[in-house]
Amino acid sequence: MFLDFFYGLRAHNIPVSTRELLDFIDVINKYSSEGEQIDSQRFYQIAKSVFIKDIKYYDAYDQAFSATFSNIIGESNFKDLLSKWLEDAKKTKLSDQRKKDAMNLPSEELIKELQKRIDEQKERHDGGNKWIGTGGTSAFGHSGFNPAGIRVGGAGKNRSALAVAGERKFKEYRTDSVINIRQIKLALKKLRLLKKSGKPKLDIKKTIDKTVANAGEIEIVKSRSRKNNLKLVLLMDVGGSMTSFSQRVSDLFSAANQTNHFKELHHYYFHNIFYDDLYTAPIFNQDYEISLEKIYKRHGRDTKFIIIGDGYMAPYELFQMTSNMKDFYYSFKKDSKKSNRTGLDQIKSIMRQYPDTIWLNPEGKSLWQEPTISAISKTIPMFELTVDGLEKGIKSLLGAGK
Amino acid sequence: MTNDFNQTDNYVLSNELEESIKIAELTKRPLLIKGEPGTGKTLLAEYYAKKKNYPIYRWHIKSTTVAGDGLYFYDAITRLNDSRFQDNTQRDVNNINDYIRFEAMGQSFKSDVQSVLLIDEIDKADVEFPNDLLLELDKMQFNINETGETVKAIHRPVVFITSNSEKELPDAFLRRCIFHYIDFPNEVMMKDIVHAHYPEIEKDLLNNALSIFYKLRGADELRKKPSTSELIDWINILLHQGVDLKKIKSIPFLGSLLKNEEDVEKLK
Repeated sequence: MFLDFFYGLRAHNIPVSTRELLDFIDVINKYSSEGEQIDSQRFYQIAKSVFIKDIKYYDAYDQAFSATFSNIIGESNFKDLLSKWLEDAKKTKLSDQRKKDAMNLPSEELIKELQKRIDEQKERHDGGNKWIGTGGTSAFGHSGFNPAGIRVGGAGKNRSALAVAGERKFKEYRTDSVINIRQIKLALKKLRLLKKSGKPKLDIKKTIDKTVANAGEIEIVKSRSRKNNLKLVLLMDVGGSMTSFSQRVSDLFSAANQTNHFKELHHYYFHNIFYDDLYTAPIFNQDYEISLEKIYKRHGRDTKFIIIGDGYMAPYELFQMTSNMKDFYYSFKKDSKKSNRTGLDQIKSIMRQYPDTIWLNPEGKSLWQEPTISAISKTIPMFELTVDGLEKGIKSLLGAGK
Repeated sequence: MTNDFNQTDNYVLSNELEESIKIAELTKRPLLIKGEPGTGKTLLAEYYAKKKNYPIYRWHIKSTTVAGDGLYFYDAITRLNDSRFQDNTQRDVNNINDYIRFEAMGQSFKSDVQSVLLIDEIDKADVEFPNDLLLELDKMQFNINETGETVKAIHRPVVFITSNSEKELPDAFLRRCIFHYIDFPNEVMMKDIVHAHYPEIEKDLLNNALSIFYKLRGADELRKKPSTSELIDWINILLHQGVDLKKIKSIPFLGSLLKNEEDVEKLK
């Protein structure tokens, strides 16, 4: 059951590894050899400290904890369950040498180790029902625990672990559901391409090192500082079906602006999909028009493009230039150099021009089956407009084209 | 009675935090502490060192800090100077060890008694910084390049690392830490904390002050929520001025609770 919990954590997308599991067993073993008592509240706490490395996983941890333990145990049985498991764990106690080696174990051995534990766990698990409720004969008695030495605050003492876990008070720290400016900034900071630039300057430390190595004969060392060489263009869908996401898009936009560590940052707007032109402001008239041709000339091939839009539109907007649409579209234009390209053609052309392009979609993945969205996502790598999605997208931006 | 918040005597430790410290001790892993500003992250290491009577070595991280800074410093300039003008100095220019100075981490390794190492605000440095410390934290040893000597910790120091979550820490680093998030104290615990600072505070005043304080924190529109240290300051002012919180209409000395102009405006 406790291994179930470990895999439950993994199933909730918490990055836990064998290393943490071994640490955890180590702690439990040491506690048990010291005769410390472990009730479910403490177990909750210990597992949390060892397995969870960021507050964004606290909520998932609480959920995994409730899911694993809520229907199996009442508080009183918990001690028995745990002590039984510990008794068995003691038998398989790692030798000191193995513990020392644990950090250097090659991965196959780690996997073997894990497999061994899984096998053992299965046995216990199969026979599980019979030992629920048996009396505690182990070192883990009943009396309340009394921490020695250090003064303890009075809060939150008598609440069961499940009650604490059930509260889900860390919900708002999840990163896969919310996004705010600060989080975006953190993500955008990763978007960098360091390059040496500027005039060489005197490097005092290296000069001294060299001079000393030369036994006092002065040798001047110059070096150049590294700067972010990344050029970024944001293309944003505004209006229409995007209205409900406007807050998130503008958050992303202001974060990108405030980050101000890019070599260049430009942004253009479109509505639903673009044909021959984009707009320099979210106002769709000729004054703000800029043709894709111009954009291709203006921005070099090494520029990274991020397109933000829900990709949700009437299929003909993406796939065809019906006469109606064409007429409507070109009625705004004086110098009608019609390219007759569909929206999808234009996306492909951007992708050809700028291999490092991603699409961020504020719609959840469940909606990506829509014909227009799925057509776009087949052309351009598409990610969700969440912190997780943004980070994945940035990784793909930096990974490609190098 | 003391009114200095930065005193370890008055530190109130929660059950959960104590448990995490114990686990870090048992597993010999660094304890990584995050939490809102003003919840006593840095203070914890000081408190622990004092309680256990261990010497503490502090390494405050800045944006320019690199991993080597915490280990040792090779004073090449002094050596160069000594080599040219070797008057009245006890240093031997031929002995490179005379020019090597140990920094916080090096000192804690060299310490011949069990010590505490505080790495404060690790997220201030470059994103790669924590990864550069992996070997040192794992093996508790490092090499001095200039002499080829290996410094190995005599006693593994108890390591406290604090972070304000400005940057995400790398996974490889996190895997080696025990993590604890210091939750904002609830009212019960907060009473303990205030009592630790002002043992003679009247019950009425305390209750009223806390209810105002938590109402303020509950207000969504605030940009920066007041923290424990601000509450302690505020109560100190209230005590000195003898304000009766039942009789007043607006919150007195708001400036000590709210540090953002817009927030103060909103509440006026």
